[in-house]
Amino acid sequence: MNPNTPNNLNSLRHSDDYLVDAELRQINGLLDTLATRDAQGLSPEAFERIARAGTQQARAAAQGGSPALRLTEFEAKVARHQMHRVNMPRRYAAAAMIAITCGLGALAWMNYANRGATSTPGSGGSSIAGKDTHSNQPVASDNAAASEFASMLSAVAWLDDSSSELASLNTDAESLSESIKADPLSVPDVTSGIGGTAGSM
Amino acid sequence: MEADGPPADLAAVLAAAASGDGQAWTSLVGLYARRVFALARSRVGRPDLAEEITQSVFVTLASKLKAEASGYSEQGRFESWLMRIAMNRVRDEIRRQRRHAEPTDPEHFSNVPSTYHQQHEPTTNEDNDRQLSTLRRALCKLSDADREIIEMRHHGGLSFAQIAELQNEPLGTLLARHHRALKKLKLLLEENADDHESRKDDL
Repeated sequence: MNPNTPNNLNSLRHSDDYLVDAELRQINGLLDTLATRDAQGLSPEAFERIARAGTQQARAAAQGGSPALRLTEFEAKVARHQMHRVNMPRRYAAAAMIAITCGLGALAWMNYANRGATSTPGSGGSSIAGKDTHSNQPVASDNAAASEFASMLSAVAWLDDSSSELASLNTDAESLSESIKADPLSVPDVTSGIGGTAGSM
Repeated sequence: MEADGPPADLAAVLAAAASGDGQAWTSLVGLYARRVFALARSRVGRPDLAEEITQSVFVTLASKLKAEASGYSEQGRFESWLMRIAMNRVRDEIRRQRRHAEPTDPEHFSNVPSTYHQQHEPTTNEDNDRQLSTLRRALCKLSDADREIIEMRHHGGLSFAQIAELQNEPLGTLLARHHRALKKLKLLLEENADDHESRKDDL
C-alpha cells in the first residue's frame, strides 16, 4: 500500500514525509533552516517586553471591561475626528459659498438700483458738465458690473473645484469608516490617507 | 522550524494568562513568540517591524484571551488561533506597506551576493548564508498564497492539518499546494543559479 494515500494523511500531519523528491526534501530542509534563523532574531529583552505587555493587557482586560473594546472605541474616536476634519472644511466651504453668493448678489442689486436711480429722467443737473457726468455713469457702472460678474464666475469655479476635492475626501472617510467596521482590531492608516489629502487642500 | 513541545496543561496556562499571571505569560511567550516572530520576519523583512508585530499579536491575544481561551484551550486549536491573529496582523502590515512604500524588486539585491562571492573565497558558512539569501529572494517571488502556506508550515510551525483548517481547504488539496509551491521554489532557485553562472561567464 502506498504510504502517502489519503487514508494515511492524518499520520503525516506533523511531517513532510509525503515529499518523495530528494531535491524538494532538500529545499524543505533549507526552508526549515531559514525559519530557524529567522526565529533567532528575537532578543531575550524582547521576550520580556512582550510578556510584560501581554500581562498588563490581560490584567486590564480582567479588571474592567475589555481593553480590546476600549481600543476599538479609541480607533472609532480617531475615525470620528478624521471625519470631522473632512466634514468641517466642507461645511465652511458651503457657508463661504452662500456668503459670497449673497454678497455678490447684494452688490449686483445695489449696482442695479444705483444705475436705475441715476438714469431716471429729470434727475440730472442743469449744467452741461453735470449732464456729461450723468451720461458717463451708466458706462462706468456697466464696467463695474461686468468685472463683478467675472469675479463671481471665478469664485463659483473655485468653489466647484473645492467641492470636487471635498467629495474625494468624503469618499476617503467613508472607506476608512468601512475598513474600521470590517476589522476593528487593525489600526487604520488615517494619517496619510485622509490627512494627506486633506492637507493638500 | 520545528514546533516546540506543548505545555503539560495548556488550558491551565491559558486560564492563568487570561487573569494576568506573569509567569503564565512568560511561558506562553517563550513557547510561541519565536514562531510568530519568524512568520512576521519572513514576510515583512525587517526584524524591528517583526518584533513590533509579534508584540501586537500577543497584546491582541491578551485582549481576547478571557473570552476565547476556553474555546481554544486544545493545543492545536490555540496554535491555529494564534497564527490566524499573526497572519491577519502581517497581512495588515503588508497592505500598509504596499500603500505607502515603493516596491523593492528582489532583483535589486541579486548582485550583492555575487559580488561578495567574487571577493571572498567561500567558506561553508558563507555558502550556507548565500544559499539562504537566495532562498529568501526566491520566496519573495512566490505568489502570496504559495508563500503563506510555506511560511505557516516552516516559520509558523503549523501542521498541515492546522493550515488546512486555517485556509478552509481539504488536507489533500493543501498538501498538493505545498508540493507545488516547493516545486516553484525549486524552479526559481534553478533560474537564479543559471543567472549566476551566466554573470560569471560574462565577467
